[in-house]
Parts: sequence; structure tokens; C-alpha cells
Amino acid sequence: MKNPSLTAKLTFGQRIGVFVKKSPARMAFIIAVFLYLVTIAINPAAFNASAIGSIIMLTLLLSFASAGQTIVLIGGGMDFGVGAVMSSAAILTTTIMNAQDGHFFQLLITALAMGALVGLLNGICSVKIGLPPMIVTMAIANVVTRMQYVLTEGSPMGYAGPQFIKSVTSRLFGVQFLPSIILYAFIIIPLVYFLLNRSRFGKQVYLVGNNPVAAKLSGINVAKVQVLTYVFSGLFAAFAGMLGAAYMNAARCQIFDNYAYESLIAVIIGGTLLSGGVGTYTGSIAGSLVMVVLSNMLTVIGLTQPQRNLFMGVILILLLILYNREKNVRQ
Amino acid sequence: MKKYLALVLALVMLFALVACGNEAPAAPAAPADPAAPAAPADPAAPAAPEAKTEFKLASHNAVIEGNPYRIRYEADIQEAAAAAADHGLTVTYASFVSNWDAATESQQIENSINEGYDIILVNPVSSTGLDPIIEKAQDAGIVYINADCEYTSPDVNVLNVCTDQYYLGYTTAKYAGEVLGEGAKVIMIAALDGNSANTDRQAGFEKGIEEAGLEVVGGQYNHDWDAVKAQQIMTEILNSGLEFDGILISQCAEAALAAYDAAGAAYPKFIGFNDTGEFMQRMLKLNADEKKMDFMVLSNPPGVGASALNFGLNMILGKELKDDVYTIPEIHSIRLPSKVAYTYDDISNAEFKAMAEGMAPGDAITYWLTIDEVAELYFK
Repeated sequence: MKNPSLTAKLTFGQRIGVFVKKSPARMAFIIAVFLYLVTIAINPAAFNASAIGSIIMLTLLLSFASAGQTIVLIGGGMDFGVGAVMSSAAILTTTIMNAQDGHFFQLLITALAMGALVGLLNGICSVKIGLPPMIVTMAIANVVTRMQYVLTEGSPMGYAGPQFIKSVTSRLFGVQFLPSIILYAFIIIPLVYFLLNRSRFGKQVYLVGNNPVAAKLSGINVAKVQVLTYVFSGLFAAFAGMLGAAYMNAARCQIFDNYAYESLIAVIIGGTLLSGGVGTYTGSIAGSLVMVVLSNMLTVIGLTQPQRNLFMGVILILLLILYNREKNVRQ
Repeated sequence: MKKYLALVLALVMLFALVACGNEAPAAPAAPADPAAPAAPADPAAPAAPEAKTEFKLASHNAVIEGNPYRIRYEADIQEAAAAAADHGLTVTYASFVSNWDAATESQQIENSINEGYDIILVNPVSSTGLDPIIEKAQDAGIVYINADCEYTSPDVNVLNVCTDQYYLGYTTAKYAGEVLGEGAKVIMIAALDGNSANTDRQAGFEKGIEEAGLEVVGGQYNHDWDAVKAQQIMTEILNSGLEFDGILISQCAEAALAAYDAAGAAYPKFIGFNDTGEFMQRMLKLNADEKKMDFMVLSNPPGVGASALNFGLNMILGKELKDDVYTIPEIHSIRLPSKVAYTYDDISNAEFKAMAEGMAPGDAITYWLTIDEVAELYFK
């Protein structure tokens, strides 16, 4: 609810500040658009349908990986196992499909079961046993990674199925800016929105993340809700890993490990609080878009990798400082 | 409930220990990595007592996990150690990983010296800083060899056994020049800045580009030997609308081509180099009916560590290196030439097809010089 009299007293700078704090998702979208405009100003050739299609594809892939991370963070946890689960799911994809079509449902069940199991383990260790989520999810991710090497001897076999690859990388109706991965977005995005905004579970996640003590006093099974957030994280990461394998065609051990950090950064840029209780999936999608557009801009500029890393780090830190978010609810 | 949780936790820990206890499984690997220096001094390495046929080998690596090249590197060393039995030698193998920590590396090597290892192979964290340790090992009569990446300190007399990275870059750029013609535009995607293998490779690329009269367009790109990053960089280059005829890339070429597929863009006229099964299989498939794209396959074998071991075994048997074997005499470095090269001209070559089809996607071409081959080529 706006307070007109209060808003009228704010200076322009203060209004911007309020907007940034209150609307991080919209802010992230604006930043992404601004970065893309800068890219086009530097190199007008960068404005083309194929480029837009590629940006959408990479953004969606990252946002799928960020979906579970968003839920976990809102619930007050943290999951550094996203990358390991994605990599494992990618290996399962190429191994089970082995360049053949017709194994999708077998793959789907196997990969999701693996993701759910890892998520459950993360949840039990961090919630039930009470180990620090950052440490325990990294430790379990390490075990999952080791399993990739042990089971594949370091050399995963096969490729994703041709139709599955097509379903991710081809263009809808031949339109260059419409990658077919959008079809998966029609499933994932509404599902996450339903989970977070329309289900009882979603309301409980926000309550638990915001104030676990109050949530418990309200009769919510806090531990169960938090464990479930990790399970969902594993499920979404596994699905993202499957799509990632189709995008890459083949898989390697640890191929998507960086997504653990990238998904976390995208979620934070999108306005989800590390301390829990606040955040939206829209913000995470916007955060993913910022990450992808920023990387695209740095390549167009032609910076060296160390310069890119430096720039990326500085800009991300600036964004985080800009939000300067703190938890307002008293515990 | 707590009992169950404790049980689960105990199982997890056990699982982790079992997983961690399995040293880098054999299997091929991929991208060429860098890292490394150091090794024994001249040929004059200490000879073992005549009757001795059992030797302890310590292989020190900066990293294994997460690096398919290093995994294959260690696996090849193990195989070469086992193969020494054919010469009546029993070589027991132990692997140590410092995870890019120079202090840990020094400590681990020191432990190997104290524990009486006969051969120490090091694929080090950095190209300097191990002088005192190397001298201590040599004083103790241990054969100390630096493998894969060069140890560049001129103050110790240590043998380096590495692959000739300069050749890989130079040969690729020269061939690209033949295919594309003088004045053609190419983009250059390097591996990891600051890495010695990448530095040497880039020097080769630059020389070849200069001699072939190619024009490098765009910025400076790196993939850091990360396939996902390679695909993303290539996607972004395509997004930029940059026009070019060919791609010079320091491995990870299959990921660059996957970016073309995802973007629905027309392939370039040339791409190289790479050495993985996936890349070769792609080239076979792509050019199955007609020529779509020329390419360069060059080997950068992870087996270089196994070759280095066989240098060590020859030395421990009392043989001496020839006088003119060093590629870089100042640092006693022997750079082994790449033995496998394929281009589009080999598209119908049965050997190329068999190799490509027999490899897993992420496998890199690997091989090593046997004890006899090393003796014949490099020892008196």
C-alpha cells in the first residue's frame, strides 16, 4: 500500500532507492535491458533475432536451475548442490539416451529420483541434524561429484537423443528469437509460481523463512517444510541438468558445477534474501537475465577473461550493495 | 529418530570416504591442461643398485578431480607402471594431490622423500618455488622428474618432460592459413591465461597466424578449458554479429560447434584444434556426405606423465640421456612432439574413423612412449 503523503516528501533519489529495495525483480529487468542497450550501442550488429533467441535460451536454462534455489533460500536454507545434481542428471541423460530417442520417461524418472534423493539428504542433514546448510550441501555435492567419477570412470558415455536436443535448441516455427526451450518454460514457470504463490506449501515456505519460531508456533511443521524445499531444489536441478545435456549434446563429470554459484547469484540479484522469507521466482528469472546479458556484453566488448571476471565481480557486488537488503522482521 | 539420523550420517561419511578413497579412475580425458614443472636434473640422475627391481613411485599432481585430462594422466601412469613388469620391474604407485596448494604440495613431496620413494613425478602447482625440495630429493638419490608442465627455475638441474604445446598452436594456425587463404578472418579462443601450456600454445598460434597472413578479429576470448564456458563464449560471439571465416581454438572445439547448432548458425570453414572423441565424431558425421567444414585434430596426450615415468625408469636403471635431447636446454626441458594429426583429408581414413568411433565423447587421444622407445630416442 502506498502512502501518498509520505511518497510526496521523498526526493527523486530516495524514490529510486525505495524502488530498488521494494522492486528488485523489476529493477533487475531494467538493468538487463539497460545492459543490452549498452551492448547494442557498442556494437549495433549485436541486435539480431538469433542473439535474442540465444539470450532467452541461456536465461531459461539458468532460471530453471535457480527455481529450486529460490525456494530453498526463501525457506531460509541454501543449496550448493545444484551444480552437482545438474551434472549428474546430464550424465544420466547422455548415458540413458545414448544418442537414441525414446528413453525420455525412463530418464525423467531416474534423474528426478536422483535429484530428490540428493535433495532429501541435503534437507535431512541441514534441517533435521542441524548442520550448516552451506557446508553440508557442499559436502554432499562433493560426494555426488565423486560418484560421477566412480560410476563413469571419469568418462561419461553417449549423447542426448536427437529429438530431445531439438526440443531444447531448435527454433519454434523457424523464428530465430523463439528457442524451443520456451516450451519447457510453460511447464516450469507456472509450476514454481503455483508452488510459491498458490499452494499452502508456498505460504508455509515464506512463513518459515521469515520467522521459523513464529511458523512453528502457528502449527507449521518447520522441519518438514524446509526438507521439502531441498527436495524441490534437487528435482528442479535434475530437470535443468537434463535440459543442459541436450543443450551441450554430451556431458562430462562436473560439467554444470558452476551453476551452483550462478544460480545462487541470479536468485540474489533477483531480490531473494539470503536470510530467507523474501523473494520471488520472477526475480530469479530477472536475475538470470542480468547474468546472461552482462556476460554477453562483456564478450561483445572483447574483454580478456581476467578482465571479464573482474568486471563481472564488480558489477555483481555493486548490484548487491544497491539492494542493501536486511531482514526487517524481528525474530 | 536420532538413531536413524546418526545412522544416515554415518553412512554418508562412509560413502564419502569410499568415494574419496578411489583414486582417479582410469579413462580418457579431455582438455589439455597446463600446470607444471619440475624435475630431475640432467640425465645424471641417481642410479639404483644393480640388483634392485622393485621401485616406489610417487605421482604428485596439483589437481585431479574435475580435470579429465589429469584423471587420464594419472590412469596412464598407473598403466605404464604396471607395464614395467614386462621389463622385470615392479613399480608400486601412489598418488598425491595438493589441490593447487603450493604449501601442501611441498609437504607432500617432502613426505615422499622421507618415505623412501625411488621416483617422484611432479605435475606441479607452479613453475617455480620447489628448488630446495628438488635438491633434497636429488641429494637423497631419488629420481625427480617434472611432467606435463615445465619447471622453469634455471637454478636446479631437473628434467622436464612435456608435450610440445607451441607446435599445437603453430601447426593449427598454419593449416588454417592453407585452408582459408591469406587475409582470411579468424577468431581466437584461448584456454586459460597464465597457464604455461596456454602461453606456449598461444605463442605458436601467433607465429602461425603471422606466417599464414591471417587476420584475428574480435576480442580476446578464453574458455578456461571449461566446455560450458566455451559454448557460452561462442554463443556470445555469434550474438555479436562478428564476421569471420574460421575458428582457432585451444581445444573445447566441440562445445563451440554445439553453440552453432543451438543458434542455428552456418558453420565456419575451419575449426581447430581439438583431440576428443566428441569432436572427431562430429567431424565424421558432419562431413559424411560432402565437405562442410575443414578441421584439425592434434593430440595433446595425457600420457605424457607415463612417458615421463619411463624416462625415470631408464634413469634409475643407470642409463644416461643423450647430449642434444633438450628442446629448451636452459631448463632441461624435453618437449615431446604430438604424434597424431588429422584433418579433413583424413575423413575417409580408416584409422581416423576407428579412433573416433572407439572413443567416448569426452575422451582425449592418449598414448605414451614405452621404456624401450624412450631409451632408443633419448638415452645413450
